Amino acid sequence: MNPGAADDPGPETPGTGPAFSSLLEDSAEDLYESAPCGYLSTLMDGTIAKINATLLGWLGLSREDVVGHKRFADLLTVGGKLYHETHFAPLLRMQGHLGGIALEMRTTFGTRLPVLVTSTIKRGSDGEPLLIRTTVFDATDRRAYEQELLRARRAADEAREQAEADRAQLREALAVLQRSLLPASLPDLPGVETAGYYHPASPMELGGDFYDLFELDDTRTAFFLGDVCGKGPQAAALTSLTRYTLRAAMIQDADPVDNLRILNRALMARYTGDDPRYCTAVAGVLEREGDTLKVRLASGGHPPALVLRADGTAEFLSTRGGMLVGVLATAQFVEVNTVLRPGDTLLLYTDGLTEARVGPDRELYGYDALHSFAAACAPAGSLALVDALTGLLRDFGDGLDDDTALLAIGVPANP
Amino acid sequence: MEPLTIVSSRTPAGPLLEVAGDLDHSNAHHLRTAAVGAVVSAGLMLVMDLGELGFCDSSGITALIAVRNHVVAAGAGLILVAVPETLRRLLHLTGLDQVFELRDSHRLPSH
Repeated sequence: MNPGAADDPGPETPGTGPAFSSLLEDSAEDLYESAPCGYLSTLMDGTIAKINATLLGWLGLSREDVVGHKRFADLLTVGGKLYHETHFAPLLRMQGHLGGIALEMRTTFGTRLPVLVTSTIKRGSDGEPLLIRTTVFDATDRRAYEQELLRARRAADEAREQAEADRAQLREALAVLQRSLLPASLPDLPGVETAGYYHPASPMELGGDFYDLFELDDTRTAFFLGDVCGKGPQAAALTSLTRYTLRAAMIQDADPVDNLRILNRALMARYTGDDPRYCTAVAGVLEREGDTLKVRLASGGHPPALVLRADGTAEFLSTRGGMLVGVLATAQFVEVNTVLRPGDTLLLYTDGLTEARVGPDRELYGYDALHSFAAACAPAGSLALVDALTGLLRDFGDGLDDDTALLAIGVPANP
Repeated sequence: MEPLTIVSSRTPAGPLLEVAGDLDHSNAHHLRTAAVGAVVSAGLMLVMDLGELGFCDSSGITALIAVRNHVVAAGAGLILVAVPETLRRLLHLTGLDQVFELRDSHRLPSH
């Protein structure tokens, strides 16, 4: 306990220290002259009547040069002067007060001084304007900050433009690669109508679906269509290996089951245990006989092909039991045969079509719906069928989130 | 999207993995890791209970194939039990029902 404490204000109490005492001695005049901001008072025509030492120091001017000789606008840069005449002065006259206006002043050192200006009109007792009082803040730091912001924004704009350019270049490269995985156009075959379509899931992602169709000799044509697992560059590499392996095998000896076995061996040799890569594929051979096409078709784990008949019916060609290609060394592949007569069309597709999501519950589109759709189209030539299916895919909208490939082969109806 | 959970335990026949939730490209590697961690030795069976498996896309199929390759390389076997209907259809369509052994339950039949 300290019994004298209540009477002793102590050395820390405000109002008694030497610094506070010297503040009390500070004259209003000294405060005006050496304030950390500029002050000036002008007549209503702008002629400077009073200016403090701080502002004179900033501008490198002496009081005699200024007071009674210069107007406020004379202290500004050309741009500042213009802005003062067109905006500042009229607004001030109208409102009586104007705050935080950014202007530039000229100094006798040949530099510009960015400032923030606030002005107030002092009125007489009759309301008549007498003079203008102005405060000037040095805005050099603020200007530097603004310029830094502008510089950062320019840098961000440039980075964004560069990123957009890079993105466009990447998209172009991907499109070229994607096109290399599909035939540029299908060959013209006498007495056969063919149509292909490819819907990429995304322009920024290489798809994993592929198809091809090429003549083997005067009467025989080979074709295939499939879907590799995964997406992106690795899927594209697998697609490339798959497409050229199948093509080489079929040119050598077109036997669909054997051709899929060769592909199976090639994929198993390339991709091993921990990183299995596989595809589903349908490979087939067409042989022309009079006005009919004999079709031999083998499937490895691929959705069943559809045939639309001239009589308006549609049927799946079951290849159940055919296994994914690239999974098992002893994989079985299943062959099915059919004959296309005038008005018949064979349709190969990938599961992007049957696995599209439809309706409010986003149900799988499925095989039954595809069968009904095909039956409703039948009879239909290849071009008309692919057209109708392209429309269907478009109607799926965002329910279609996978790549989808279509290949139709038909014998035109007799005229 | 249901998160994937894999519960690992052991039975007299070998390790048991109970897989629940959705299996896709974002988590398929967890299944591979779990199967490798389950340490199957020659002659044993790795049993995978898929009864609570929801969605399974092609990455899920790839993971199942990788697990099978791993198990077969170790001289062991793989049994898939309680395979949901959609996955069962997909396995039939892709011929993989010939590769995987499918069973209804991993419980021993009661006498």
